[in-house]
Amino acid sequence: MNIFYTFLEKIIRFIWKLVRKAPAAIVICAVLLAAVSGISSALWLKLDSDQDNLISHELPFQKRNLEQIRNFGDQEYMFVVIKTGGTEAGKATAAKFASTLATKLNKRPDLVKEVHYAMSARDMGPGVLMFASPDELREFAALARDFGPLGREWFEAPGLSRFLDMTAGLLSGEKGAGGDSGMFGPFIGAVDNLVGEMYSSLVSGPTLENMNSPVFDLDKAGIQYFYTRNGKLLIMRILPKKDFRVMDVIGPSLNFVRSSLETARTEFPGVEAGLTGRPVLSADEMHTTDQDMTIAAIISVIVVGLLFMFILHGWLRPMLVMGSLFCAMAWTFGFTLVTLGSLNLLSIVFALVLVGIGVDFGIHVVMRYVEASDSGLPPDEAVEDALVHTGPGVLLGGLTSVCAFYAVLGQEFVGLAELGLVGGTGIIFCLISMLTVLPSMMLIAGRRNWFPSSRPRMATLPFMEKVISRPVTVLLVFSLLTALAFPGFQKAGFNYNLLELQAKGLESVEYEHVLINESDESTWFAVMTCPDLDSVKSLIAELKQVPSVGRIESILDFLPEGQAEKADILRGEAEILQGINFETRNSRLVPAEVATSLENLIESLEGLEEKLFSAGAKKELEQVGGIIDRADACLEILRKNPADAVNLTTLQARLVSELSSSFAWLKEILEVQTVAPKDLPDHLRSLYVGKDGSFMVKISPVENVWDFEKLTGFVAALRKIDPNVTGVPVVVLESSQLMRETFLEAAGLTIILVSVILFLSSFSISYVLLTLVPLFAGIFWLLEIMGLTGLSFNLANFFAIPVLIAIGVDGGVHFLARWKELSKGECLYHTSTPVAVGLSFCTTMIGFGGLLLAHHRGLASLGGIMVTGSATCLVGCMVVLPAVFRLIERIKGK
Amino acid sequence: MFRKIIAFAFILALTLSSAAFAGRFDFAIIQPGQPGTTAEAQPVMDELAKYLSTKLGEKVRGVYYNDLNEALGSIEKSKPAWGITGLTFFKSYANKFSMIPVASTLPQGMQKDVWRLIVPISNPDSPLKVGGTVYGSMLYAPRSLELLFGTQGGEFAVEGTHNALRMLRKVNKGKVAGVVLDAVQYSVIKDSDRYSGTKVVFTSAELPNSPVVWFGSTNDDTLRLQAVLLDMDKDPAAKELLKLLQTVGFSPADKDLH
Repeated sequence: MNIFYTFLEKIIRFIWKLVRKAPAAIVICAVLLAAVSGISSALWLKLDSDQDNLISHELPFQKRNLEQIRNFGDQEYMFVVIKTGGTEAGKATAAKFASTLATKLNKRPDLVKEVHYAMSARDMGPGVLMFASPDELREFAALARDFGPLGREWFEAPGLSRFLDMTAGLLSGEKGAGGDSGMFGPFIGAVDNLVGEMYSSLVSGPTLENMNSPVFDLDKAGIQYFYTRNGKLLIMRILPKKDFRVMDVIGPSLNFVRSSLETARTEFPGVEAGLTGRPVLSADEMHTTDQDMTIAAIISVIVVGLLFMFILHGWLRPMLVMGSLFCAMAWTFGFTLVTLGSLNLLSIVFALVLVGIGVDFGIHVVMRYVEASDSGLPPDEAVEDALVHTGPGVLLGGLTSVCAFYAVLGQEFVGLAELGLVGGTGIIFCLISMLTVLPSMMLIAGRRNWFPSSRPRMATLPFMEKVISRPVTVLLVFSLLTALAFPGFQKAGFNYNLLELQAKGLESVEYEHVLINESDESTWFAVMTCPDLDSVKSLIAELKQVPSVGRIESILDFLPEGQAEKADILRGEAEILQGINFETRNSRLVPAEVATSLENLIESLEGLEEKLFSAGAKKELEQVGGIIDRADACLEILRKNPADAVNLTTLQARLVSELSSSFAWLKEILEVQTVAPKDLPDHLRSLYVGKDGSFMVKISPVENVWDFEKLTGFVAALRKIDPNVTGVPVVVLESSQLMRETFLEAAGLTIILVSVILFLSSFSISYVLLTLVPLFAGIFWLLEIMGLTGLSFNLANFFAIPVLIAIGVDGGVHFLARWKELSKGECLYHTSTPVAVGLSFCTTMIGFGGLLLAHHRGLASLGGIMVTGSATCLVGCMVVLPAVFRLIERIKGK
Repeated sequence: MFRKIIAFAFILALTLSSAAFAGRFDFAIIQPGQPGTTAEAQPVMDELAKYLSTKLGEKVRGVYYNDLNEALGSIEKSKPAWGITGLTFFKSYANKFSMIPVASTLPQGMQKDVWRLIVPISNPDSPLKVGGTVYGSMLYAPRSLELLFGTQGGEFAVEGTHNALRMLRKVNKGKVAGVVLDAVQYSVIKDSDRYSGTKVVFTSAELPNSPVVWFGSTNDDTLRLQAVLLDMDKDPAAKELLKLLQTVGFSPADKDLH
């Protein structure tokens, strides 16, 4: 025996003295402390669900990322992907769908900050004409010169009747006629709208709904929808409101967007549309993991409870273990409140860790107590026996587990470091609780004879003695199996693809794939910043040479070229509209005048019909025929009851208002001579110009960067151009690598620390090696099975490694401690230790086994690795290690 | 895009004045009976002229006539080099103006035209029993009835109209004895229920489409023009223009025109 182990024994002796003297006081203090911790945590412990806070803000890549977010604002959008089928009709329906959905979403600015799905000419700002080609501009200027006098004439006495007359004149050619076939559709569509509105107004009167709405929607004229380059999809970008004080950061916004989307789907049953984007995927991931974890927890509690009740007999012993565990959990919450003040997205799983590891300590104590009671010892001595004999082993095992978690302290991956601190400290609290509170409660219950008189059904495993009676055969069989499975070991790998962790069938995942496969869009984009426009230009030129770079967006997309030439074309053109009074009041509406104007319009439309008829334009002919029918109906109403014309007053006011606004805007855009970043509308400028005046360049990848190799290549190519590149691809790449490195470093450090602790507790290399046999054998077999079954490590299941190290070592410690205790003639499997160790592994397997049913593939793989790893460590502990013991005994002739 | 912004409020035609012809490739499109006016069609003529100017390297101008008398007067006065004429105009005045067909239009892609005599459904099925005046946009020129019936001829009176659709509606209501529609016009109504009060009592033989003609003796310019016109359907730049001209392209001159 060595000093360290003796020290552990002294601690246990000291604890026992306390427990024996004041068990009730210990329990009361523990419960009070747990209550205070629990209540204060419920009141003040916060949740920080901001993914950006999982990584140290001091890391260069994270610094740049946060600086970019601070400078340019949150640009993490949700995407509504609308399928168009690639046809013009499909595109038109998709546009209507998007417009309907946007109207719904814009009703809740408290939940939805921005919705973008199209850009009208007005959205481009007053410099919109500068985006036209010189030829287009000349044509436009010529048109403006022609319609200027018309506008001037109309605004002298603006009204419905005069408008109808002028329209009739345009159609008949009296006021000239358009030679551009492209004009036909919008023009006839507008006439159709106007006559349709006239008819509705005359039949039903003006309604509140359209009281202030435009007649022609001229604001939306020339609208460009955000179709993908191949036209198969229409993309809506939605910026949700975020609340990082709650787990579900975009929960209310997401629910609202989803319900609006559902309503839009019912209105357009033929349209296929779905929601995706990084925040949606994250929220869905959280939602599915939350659901999966709940189901897993319920299953594991029920099954572990049944197992405890079966093995430990009755409900009291399991209840005492669970009570002690809950105390430790509550203390851990209190500790977290005092030290960190909040839990992050990773540290929130510490409770699962404590259930998986902490409960095992209690099992050893209880099983030893059962064994001692069974041998006829009174309660006090039975508790003392349990404490004194299992205590040092439990402490040692616990310390190794703590090492596994504390090994990540100080790492740049703050999320993991905090999980290490909370998890490791939680394990210490479990140790304290299981070695003080649990024995105290057992003492109280034993003294009062509350435990069932019958002994547990399975306190020992004598049949296992036969299995290990031929240790050489056992070891050879396992060696052979290990050798046969070795190819699997070589195949075991790491999968970085975060999308493959998500549940199958999730709308957000499916539509992310749709975006990847059917468009040049990407929900991820890298970001570079430039101090001035010249450097933006040269950067873009450089980026265009990079094969992995797809779409490049910058402020230059909104700064037209050849501005001087265009300004020359437009110079003086606005004069044609000078002096027009856009504020003129509506003229009085005279029923007879309206009727006459309608007759004129009908006559002109009939002339148009003849032209269409001669041209064989069947569809257009039908449209014009419909307008004539409605105009005829209006005329009939006015002839029967001229007083009904009053119902057209509101329509006239709307018409005048809309055309006033449009003409004023026309004058404004004709006057613009240059477009600089400062002239752009706020919503555009803020996307590309930072608070410090720098310019953002957004770079989308060509390939699917959920694939880690492609992501690595994409980021590497960009770094050659600008080492300070940032954005989601860079953050994901860096944080994934950091997470993997942190885990690997932590695993290596844990092994070293555990070995040191084991050595200090024994000063024997052979002891250390023997203790680590179950761990090494178990992990090796786990890797072989993973390779053979195709299961790989990923960013969701890597967390299994420290837990497996903890429980693997723990089993070895207890087996070795008990083996050393055995007197001559005693057999290991006739003691309670194997059952306790087996039960510990089983609780872990059951605890994580529920995750096998998870929809989230990352969680399911965590369940798979934990169950497989626990099982392999169990076999290593229960079969291989005792076989080695037996072999050593034979060699030593014991 | 920018033109559509102001689609409704601001549309206006570019008016222009016709001028005397003088160029080697100046043209006239003569379609008596077709709707519209010379001024309305001028932007389309300008588009065609602009296209040909680019292709031929010569300044080209063109004008459209749908009034027979105006067209006759103008040809004599301004002597265009070539033209696109209605079939009846060609048949009636080919000799007078020394018109030589050099190409054919292809309205809706059809190689041949077919005319149909349509009468009220209550009328007898025989074209010989049609009484009253029959209208048609192609019935302006003197030889139109002969073209419709071939050698047989018809006994009823014919009158050209710019309002063939209005006349069709009247036939539908039984107010007019009949209307003659060309293949393009007939394509609009053939599947429509709106004209259930009408029936076809006579269908002409296959007729040539409106020809492209050269006025006077052909020369190298004729061949150059012909080459440009025949290639228009393959030229993306001519796509919109062909739509405006209501033809999918031009084919070699119809042999039946000679």
